[in-house]
Amino acid sequence: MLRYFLRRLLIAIPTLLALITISFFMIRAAPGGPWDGNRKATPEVMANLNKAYHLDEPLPEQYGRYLWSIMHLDFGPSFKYRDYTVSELIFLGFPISLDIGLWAIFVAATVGISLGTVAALRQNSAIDYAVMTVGMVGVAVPSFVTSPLLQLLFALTLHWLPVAGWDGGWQHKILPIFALSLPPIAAISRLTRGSMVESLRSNHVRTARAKGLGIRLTVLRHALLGGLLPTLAYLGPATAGIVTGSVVIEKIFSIPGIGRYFVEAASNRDYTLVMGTVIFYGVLIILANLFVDLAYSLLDPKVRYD
Amino acid sequence: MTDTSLDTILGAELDSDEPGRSKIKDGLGRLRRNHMAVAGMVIVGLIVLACALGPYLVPFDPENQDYSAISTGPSFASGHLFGTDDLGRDVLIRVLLGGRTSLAIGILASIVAVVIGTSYGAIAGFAGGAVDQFMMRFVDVLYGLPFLFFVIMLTMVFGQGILSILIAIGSLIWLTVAVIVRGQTLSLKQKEFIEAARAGGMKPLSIVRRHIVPNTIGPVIVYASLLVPEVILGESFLSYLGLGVQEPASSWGTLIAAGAPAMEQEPYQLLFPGGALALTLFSLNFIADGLRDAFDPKDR
Repeated sequence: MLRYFLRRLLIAIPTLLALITISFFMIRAAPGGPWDGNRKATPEVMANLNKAYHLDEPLPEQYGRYLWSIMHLDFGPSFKYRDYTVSELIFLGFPISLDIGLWAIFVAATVGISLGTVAALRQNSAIDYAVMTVGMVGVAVPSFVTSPLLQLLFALTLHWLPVAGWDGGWQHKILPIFALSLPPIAAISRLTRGSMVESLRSNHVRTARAKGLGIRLTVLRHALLGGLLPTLAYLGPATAGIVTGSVVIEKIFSIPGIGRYFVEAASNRDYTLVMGTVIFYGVLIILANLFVDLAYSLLDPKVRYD
Repeated sequence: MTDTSLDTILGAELDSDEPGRSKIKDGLGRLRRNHMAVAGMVIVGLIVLACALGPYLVPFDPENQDYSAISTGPSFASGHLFGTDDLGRDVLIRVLLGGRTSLAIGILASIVAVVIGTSYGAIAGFAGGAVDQFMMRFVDVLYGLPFLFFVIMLTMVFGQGILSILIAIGSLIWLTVAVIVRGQTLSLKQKEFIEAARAGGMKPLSIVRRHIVPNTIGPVIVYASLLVPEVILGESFLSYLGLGVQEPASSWGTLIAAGAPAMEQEPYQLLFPGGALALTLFSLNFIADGLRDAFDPKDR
């Protein structure tokens, strides 16, 4: 297992290199540039800007320079947020997105798996339909609708929680966590229900019941283990996506996370910031899928990697 | 199961020579007996029909602005059954025309994603070893690509419009399908019946097609029903950034996005497109669950 883990970490290096290379040239091939907003800049000013950021060099040379600098963990200055380096921007915002994101994933996993299990145990009953309906609302209603509704209800009408803003206190976290966790709750509960329905009918579960094991222990120890594989596979990439923030929810609740950079950096053609977010997200995806693979072999003893 | 008649049993036996036919007939029979799934199919059928034919029956032009009726609520008297938006355009016709776009993108992209993701994940998981590593790390790379630039590249090649959105969203959403199917396959391929198929001299690709893929159908169908809303709402995000469906054309996603800010004053602008989407998704869900129950080989 340890050998497999180490080998996967080694494979991550060429994976990341491929991602960086494709992204680098894709970003440069897109029309527009980082100085498009400065209409009044004279050609000399533009030339100086390009020279200062090495944008006047041939592309392969810039690529080599970029690789060299990220090998020294230097991700360069942001083009749009002057005075900030890309690393500073990401490490200022990421703890906030991570904080909210991890809570949202935790809530989504707990609620989603419980709802899915209950629905599977009472397949095609009123409880099942109710749970699936709630789940459906979670995916069908987009966060730019749920978030203002939550603000309207819990902040403006009931005055229990602040409308928006961020001071690191728990009051400011609850609504965004709730809004962020709704779509994954829906996905997890539906995936769990589907595979639990199958798992509950499988031979090892029937054997456990036949041995006289109570329903609670059977579900927890036997059915859930086999029934969680699809949920787990979904959780890997979903976690990477959620802890890197959501531009919509960060805007609505004015949270200074990093979700907005993914969109802003792209529309500003902030080349270094785009590359920074690509690498950061890429590392998270690679790690998330690695942990999912490790968890597979823990949940299902039959899964083996050679 | 109620029909364990001789026919079905023989049909299942004959399966190894005659791929599928009786399995499909069998599954369709079970699907027909699932009332919720049938109701879902009827409703989706009606919605598709309404979006296809309805625009010819509505006496308003989607681009025409009625300055005497700006932001008016639904009313029979004016003929604007769903009301008008803040430019005086009829909401009903925009919802119907938007449905064409949204249903086409949502259902097509999901089907493409499911077909590609299932085959890819099953092959990677079944092959294992270096092939699996290579294929799944490629998936990691695709996950990581800067999505908006990818969309920009596509619009440069295919022009702005539905085709670019379809390819952009489709090429992103198959990834999670592949991850899920591969996980299922890793567990399945150690099972006895796969061992038996292998011992019986079945070729790896036929094992994948005949034994692995049918057994992953459960989670795949469930996940596909989650993809449809993701695609339809994802399209509105791209449109908001100026990369998707552009005014005056509409889609459910863009109508919901336009209606959301006005939800306190003119809730109908959000409720009609939102309701259409919700109704479609509910029905698709029951169809998905029905399909899962009808075609899952483990449920015999």
